[in-house]
Amino acid sequence: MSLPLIIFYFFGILSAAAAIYIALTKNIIYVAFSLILCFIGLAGVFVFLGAEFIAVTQILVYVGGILVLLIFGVMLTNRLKGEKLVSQSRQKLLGFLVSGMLFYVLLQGILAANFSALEWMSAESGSQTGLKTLGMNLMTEYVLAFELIGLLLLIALIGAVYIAGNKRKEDKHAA
Amino acid sequence: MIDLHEILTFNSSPFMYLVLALMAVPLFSFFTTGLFGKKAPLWASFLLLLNTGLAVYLLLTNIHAELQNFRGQWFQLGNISITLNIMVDELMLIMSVIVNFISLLVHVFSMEYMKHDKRLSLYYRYLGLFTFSMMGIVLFYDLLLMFVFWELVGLSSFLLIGFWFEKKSASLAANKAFIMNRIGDAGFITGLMILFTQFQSFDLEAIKTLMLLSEIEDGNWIVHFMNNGEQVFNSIDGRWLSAAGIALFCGAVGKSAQFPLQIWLPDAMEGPTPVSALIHAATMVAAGVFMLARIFVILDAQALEVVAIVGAVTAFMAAIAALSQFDIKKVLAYSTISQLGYMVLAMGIGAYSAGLFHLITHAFFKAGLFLSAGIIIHQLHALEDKDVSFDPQDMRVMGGLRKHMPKTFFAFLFCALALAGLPGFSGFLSKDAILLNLSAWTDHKGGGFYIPEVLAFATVIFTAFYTFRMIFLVFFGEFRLPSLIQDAKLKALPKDGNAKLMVPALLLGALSLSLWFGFTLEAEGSWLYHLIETPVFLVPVSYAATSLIDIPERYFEALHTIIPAVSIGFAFIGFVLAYLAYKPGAKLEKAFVNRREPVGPLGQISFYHWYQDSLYTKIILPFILLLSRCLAWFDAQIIDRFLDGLAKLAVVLGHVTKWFDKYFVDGLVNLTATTSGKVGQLTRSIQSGKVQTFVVMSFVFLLLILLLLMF
Amino acid sequence: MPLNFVLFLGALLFCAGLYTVITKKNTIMVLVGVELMLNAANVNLVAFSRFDAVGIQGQVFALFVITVAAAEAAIGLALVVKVYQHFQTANIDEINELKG
Repeated sequence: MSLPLIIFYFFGILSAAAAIYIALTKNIIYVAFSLILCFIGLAGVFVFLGAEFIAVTQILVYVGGILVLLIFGVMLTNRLKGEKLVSQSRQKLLGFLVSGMLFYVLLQGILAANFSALEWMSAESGSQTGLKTLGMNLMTEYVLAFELIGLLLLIALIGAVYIAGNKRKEDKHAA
Repeated sequence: MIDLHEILTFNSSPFMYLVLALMAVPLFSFFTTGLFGKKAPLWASFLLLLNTGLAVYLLLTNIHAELQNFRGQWFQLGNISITLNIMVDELMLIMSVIVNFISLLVHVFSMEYMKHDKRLSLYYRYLGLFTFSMMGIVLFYDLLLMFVFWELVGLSSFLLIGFWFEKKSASLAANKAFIMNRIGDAGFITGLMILFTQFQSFDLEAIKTLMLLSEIEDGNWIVHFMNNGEQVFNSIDGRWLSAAGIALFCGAVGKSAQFPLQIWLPDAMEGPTPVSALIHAATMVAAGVFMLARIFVILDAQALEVVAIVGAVTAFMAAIAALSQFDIKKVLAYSTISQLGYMVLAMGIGAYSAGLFHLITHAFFKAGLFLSAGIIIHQLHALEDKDVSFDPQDMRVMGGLRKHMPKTFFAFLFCALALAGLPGFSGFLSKDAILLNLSAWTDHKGGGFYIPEVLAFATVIFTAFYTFRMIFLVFFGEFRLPSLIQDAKLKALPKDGNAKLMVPALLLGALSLSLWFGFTLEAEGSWLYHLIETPVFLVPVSYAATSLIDIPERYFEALHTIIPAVSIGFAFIGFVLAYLAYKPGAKLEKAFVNRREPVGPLGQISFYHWYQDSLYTKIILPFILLLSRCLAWFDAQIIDRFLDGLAKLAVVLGHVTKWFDKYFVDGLVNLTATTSGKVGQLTRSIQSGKVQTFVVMSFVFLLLILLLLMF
Repeated sequence: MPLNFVLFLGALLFCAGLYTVITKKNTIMVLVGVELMLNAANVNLVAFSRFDAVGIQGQVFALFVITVAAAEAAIGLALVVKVYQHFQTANIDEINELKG
């Protein structure tokens, strides 16, 4: 077993363990930090899968953006009185049954599908960097989708600000 | 076998539009004259002048040309195509000239005659409508369209007779004319239906072609042809052939004022006098004779006999009625009926050319008579004021007008001499031709068929008598009006009218001379008589009448000298009788002037036109009223009762269905609603409103699907 | 890199996310679960993208997914804040306005 493979497995197992911890823990702050671990592990996996750009984006967006948002959300929606921030769980059995069954079914599917027999699987490009290709594709073939997703993001941000923002006019009316 | 569609070929040419313009110009006049206000008469007359010029042009250029017809599709009903057909033949050309020419003269005449009327432009519009409708009859060689314009003529005559509808008598007269025409038209439309059933076309050319091909077998009238590739075999009882002819003739009876529907024409004198000249002398009443000429070849022997007898009876009855009238227009009206009787009689005996020749000559001299009478009435009417009031149409107030109105006298005299049938005048030629053919026909037929001849020759005497009676009473002796109104004084004496009045009358008077129609004393010598050739009958041989052409020449030989002599002699007898009775200062003349009512039973019969009106009001009218009362009773008692019963039944049925509706249908509906409500409540309880439950469910179902796919 | 391991990882992440979404009471935790599930999808996309050297469509798609996830997180958290202001709770059980 070569070193890169060992590191790859490490990252993979790290994110898997973090995900399971998220599912099981009650403490919201722990959840947030496990999520960081999970995302970093996934970023590592992406690097080994030849998607460096995605890996970097993953860290930038999730760790730098979404996670901060989450933590602020936690702060804004809980009365902080020095206690542990705890989130109750329920329907544990039902959740376990459904997700367990789904996991079983997915495993069966993955094992049953003989991927190596597929023709296009032989064209494995190894771990070559696809950054240039990605850039070219985004600016040529997928440029419309690219622009649209940018627009979507803009709209979402404006919408988020609008929804969360204080509506002064309403307040005045209420007063 | 001939295909109907081969006969009905569509063709047109630029020339067609020129012919159509004959119709379009009067229609244009009808639509636009109203815009011109005070100038309306000028505008309408100008348009008519154009149209007359066009008609004359067409006559001169096409009279010897080959027959042309233009046909187009009007509409299609399944396999049956209804076509528009315009035939340019000599009859159409001559008629269009006459209609337009007389209409033009009447337009000019009316400028003066009607100038004080408050609805002057409306009057000219009606004249335009009338001319348009009449041209439609003349142009279309198609029974359906002829019927359409026939009705339009009826309408315009209704409008014009009732033009002074403020007068009760005028509106009643208009109604009478309209209703009498409707009775005849019922016959016309019946004839149309018979012919259409048999031949599947209204086109006269198709009807004539197929009529020639039809046969009589075992008393059945059979026709066998193709219609658009489909075989048609029609066989009906042979009597329908005669029935069709007689039914179509009924239309002519109404329009041309023949016995027994002729009573509308004397009443129609309520209309303005120029209208009487146009409609009730020259053109509209001629439409019936014209129609007879169009369908002449498809009339069988029996129908023609009916036509002849009706014509002779009408001529005689009307001549008698004209003998004792006071009203100058009434005399002219009855004489019109009488002359129309001659024309119809001519058609009936197969003297096609003679009948149409008389139609043409009569159109001129009768229009002239009416216009001259119009001048007299107009000039006498001008004498009326608040002190002096009299009936300007009454011959009792006239007399001696020869000295006061010499030009009118000459116009009237020329036309009257033509009416009386004196040599040198047009009426003589045409009437002679009819009498000649009638005599040959009688000799040939034998049996009881001398009656029309007797009636016709008697009518010659009476015609001369009433004509000269009219001349003596109106123009000779002393002017009687001043002596009738003792206390008041006349402001002036009557005098000739101005040019607008005189020119048309004098023109028509001049046209009553026979020299325009040929320098001859016999119809045979006239160019016009030869222009109108008698066609050959097309009905199956066993039903066809003997054509005059087929009557051996020997029947005619002697007649050529005898008939004119007899005719002149009879006219002279009439003149002498009239002179003896009504010469100035004669006993009868003096008595007549002071008479309020005709004397003696014969006088009464004559004055009241054989009591035909009273007969209708006393016998037929009560019968019809009784019939309609019976029908009303039937309607109220049987049909209404039946309908009431039906309604009650429907109400009972309604209650039953209501009950059913309430307990069964509504029950079912309620059951459905309740069930779905319950199901809704059931499913609603599943909805916890918790998002996570939805997620669980969707994944459960996803799992189920996946498991199903896997195993 | 072994493909099956990556796929197992994706499946595990997805199921963990699903479990989180189903069981947690706190709204923010639910959102975290959703993020996990989206990442699971990304893992699969990137894994198969290796076999498409020309287009690397999987990576492109993954990029779009990340963007949408960011938008979703922003909107979602904004909604949570608003809901909290309205109901004075972030507990998803107590927000059952849709109850039939």
